[in-house]
Amino acid sequence: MKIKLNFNVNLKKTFQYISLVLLTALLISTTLVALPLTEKISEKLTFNLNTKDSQYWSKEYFVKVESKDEKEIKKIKEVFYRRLRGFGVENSTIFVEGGDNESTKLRIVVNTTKNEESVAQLIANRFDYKIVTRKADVDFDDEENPLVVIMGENYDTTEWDQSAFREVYIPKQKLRASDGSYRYFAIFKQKPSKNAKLYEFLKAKQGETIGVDIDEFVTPYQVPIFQEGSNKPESITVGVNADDEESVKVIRLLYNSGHIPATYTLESQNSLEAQNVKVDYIKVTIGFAISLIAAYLFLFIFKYDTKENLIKSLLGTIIALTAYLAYLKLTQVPVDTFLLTISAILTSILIRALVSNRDSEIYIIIGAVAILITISILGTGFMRVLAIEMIALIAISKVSLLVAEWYLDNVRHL
Amino acid sequence: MEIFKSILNNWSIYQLLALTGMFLFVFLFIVFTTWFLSGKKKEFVKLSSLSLLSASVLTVLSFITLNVVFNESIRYIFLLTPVLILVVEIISLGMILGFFTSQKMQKVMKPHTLKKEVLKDSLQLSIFIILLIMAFILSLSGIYFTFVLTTAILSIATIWINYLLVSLIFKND
Repeated sequence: MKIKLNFNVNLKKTFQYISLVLLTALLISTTLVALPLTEKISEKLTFNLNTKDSQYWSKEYFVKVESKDEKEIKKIKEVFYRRLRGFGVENSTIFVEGGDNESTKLRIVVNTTKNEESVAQLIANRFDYKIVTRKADVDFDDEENPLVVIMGENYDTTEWDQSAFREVYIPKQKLRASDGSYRYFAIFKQKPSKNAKLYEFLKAKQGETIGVDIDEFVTPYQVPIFQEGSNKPESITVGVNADDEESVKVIRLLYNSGHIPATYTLESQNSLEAQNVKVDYIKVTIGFAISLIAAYLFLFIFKYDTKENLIKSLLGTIIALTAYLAYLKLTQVPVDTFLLTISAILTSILIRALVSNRDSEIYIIIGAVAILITISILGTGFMRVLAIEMIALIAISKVSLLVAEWYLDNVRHL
Repeated sequence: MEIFKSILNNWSIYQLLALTGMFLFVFLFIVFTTWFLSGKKKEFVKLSSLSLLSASVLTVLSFITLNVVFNESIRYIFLLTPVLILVVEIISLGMILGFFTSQKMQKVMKPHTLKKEVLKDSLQLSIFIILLIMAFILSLSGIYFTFVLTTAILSIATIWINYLLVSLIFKND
């Protein structure tokens, strides 16, 4: 007896079925991950939205600057602002608060989620650096006084100060030191006009130990011996006293945010009540879902658009927001719930606008992305955070709309 | 005036220049892009520049009103208001431009059709803003409530100013 099996399978249709089943499963999973409190369904997984809300802290720092010169005070404010902005401090304000006949008092108010110690470092250190040479009459080999090497008073100043260098570059990776260990290094890049002069200076000091003086503390630098045909040292390189990336970021900012023209001291610091809004994201999610459905029902009842378009934009919104929330929950990226809610509202409006008027899609996307990139570069505080979040959400929205379109088309065909 | 004095005294020059440059660039970018993409129609220069200027004036006036009349302090969170209004502006102007160019390509451009479409879009955007903000605003209080409410009102006002401008500018085209 012969059994003949007829495997006349439509491969395209089968693939469509499998893709739809997989996508449906993926959509259900991301929705479950994104919804509030669904992490409690399984005890094996611990994921919840990592909110920044409780991480906010606020402090005021009182700084006494030994200057009354308005230009100098303005310059100091600039440098502090650049340092704090570069570090990602969400909000900082610098007030000029009088002073006496010879000094000016600055009050720096900070409201942020960033590391408190690093922020204090950015404010407390002047980071005035210059190249120094050893004083002839000081015994640097005195074993009874090991601190002699690092004290600035034991060195003579040179013409090589902050004004001679365009940048202090600290590579992101640790480099191999002479003792075989790996550490971060700061490379002092001089201005192009100073190349020849620095070479002459280093050549005169070859084989000697000079140093980089930062706020009266010196890091020694052994000038290599110049050999004929070998590479000339083009810059001064010293080790950085930091082990982790965040500390390196702080030092990078201290070196490169500008020169503070006057001496100053951090006199005091007081804790303040953190300014942040705690949004109950569970309540907001429920309210948001109800409002979104109400808005679409309204558009459907009053026939603002076709049923297909309304379903497409609603599904696109759900996919975009759940995918973003699932990503945030799974990667534990800290997020401001207040800004997240605003971004979600803007995304819903944006997706509706894109679907209701397809001819506008390219204008809205290009315009919004161009403006948000500008804001993320030039903006300050929360502006930058929101702009970066919105750029990501616009990209996700576009992909979500394509997925929603493909999904609905295929479901309809089946 | 205290708000402006405070900004001038407490903000660094870098911060002031960066923000001024940013808003100036955004203004010029929107005006130039709408003009270029509309087929160099000067009506779009009028529409986009008047729309942006009126939104800026309204924002500044609302901050002054909040500060002087309602005695609310304008904190750093209010820096978000212009950004959010700009996004709404882009959506609104983008929709107008998209419809205009599609009609122009089909050579069926009629001012009343454009007005009708802008009215429909403006209503749709306003409904979305009102309903979605309502879900959020109920869980807020104090300065954040004021911020969200002010920004929502300004966004809706911007959308309807655009409708008004379309009605005026494209009247006899």
